[in-house]
Amino acid sequence: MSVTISITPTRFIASAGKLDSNKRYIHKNTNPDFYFVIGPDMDCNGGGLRYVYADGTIIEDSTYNGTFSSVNSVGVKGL
Amino acid sequence: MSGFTASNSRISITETVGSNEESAFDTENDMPHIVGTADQNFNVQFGHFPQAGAYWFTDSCSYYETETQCSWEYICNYEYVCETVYYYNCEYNCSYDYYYGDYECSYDCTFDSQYECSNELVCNNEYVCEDVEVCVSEDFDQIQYQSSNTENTQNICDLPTDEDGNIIDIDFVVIKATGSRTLAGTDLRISNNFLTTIPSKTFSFQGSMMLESSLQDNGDSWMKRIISVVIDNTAGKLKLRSKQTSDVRNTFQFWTSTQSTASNYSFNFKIFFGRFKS
Repeated sequence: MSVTISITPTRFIASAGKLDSNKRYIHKNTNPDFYFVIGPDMDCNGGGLRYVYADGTIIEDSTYNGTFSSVNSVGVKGL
Repeated sequence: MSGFTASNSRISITETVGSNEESAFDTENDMPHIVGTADQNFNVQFGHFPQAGAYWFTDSCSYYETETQCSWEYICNYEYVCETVYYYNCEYNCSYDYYYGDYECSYDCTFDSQYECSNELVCNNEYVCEDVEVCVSEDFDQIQYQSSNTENTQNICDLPTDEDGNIIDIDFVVIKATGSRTLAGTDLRISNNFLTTIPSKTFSFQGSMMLESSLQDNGDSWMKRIISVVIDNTAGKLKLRSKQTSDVRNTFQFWTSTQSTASNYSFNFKIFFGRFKS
């Protein structure tokens, strides 16, 4: 039988387990574990590729000669 | 140990992790959720790179091959030869015979041998073989691609709307996709199709994805083809931007004008539109 709500000293469960304190629900955070990206995070120019990670880290081919440098993203934390 | 707080419009659940009290769920946090999905099939085309020049030439010594060459040769060498030489040594001796009052003569011969050695020039016809490096001639076509950066944008679906028909602001997009290359461009440097990174199974991505690349002989990249998903909230569109770039480079391969660098792809995107606040 599903439980509507259960509160014990060590665990909270609601909506038949859809909300459970044993789970780690990801949420927006300024000190993220990872990112959700929206929009391009790669550009190619001059025959080379530049990949910009959401935290600003750039990885590129030596032949890249463009100016792409920023990615729109949302930082997410799971704990 | 976990904690539960319900106060005014806030519900908070915490969980003790080690010595820390961590937030498991908090309505004050911006929680991610999907506000809409779209399922879309579409094609992406990357055009043939402009060609700056082409000419034909023959390299008379393109590379070397080892070849065994044989011939009859009259070869002379000095050899140290030893042999036993036999000889007679005869002396003609005469003595006066007083009884007969005349000379009596005879040959006195001795048989002898001697071991003699010497350098002698010995010549023979010999069949001689040797491995030699020989030049191999090759015909080449050289083509030179023109530097180009092209970008095409196409709308692939509308953004989700609320019950009033207003476009919902989107914080993130996650795409679950399948796809395949329907036309493979030729990388003339390797005389084969451009390398593609598209998986053969279902994959997911955000932002951008590289589809093709090609390298110069020294390992530097000279060509990339990518796609990116772009949100255009003003028009309420999810756009797909495909971009190809190439640099001036030469390639030396057998080439015919029918070989094209154009590539096409076919995709199915299941698009998840996400938001952090309702």
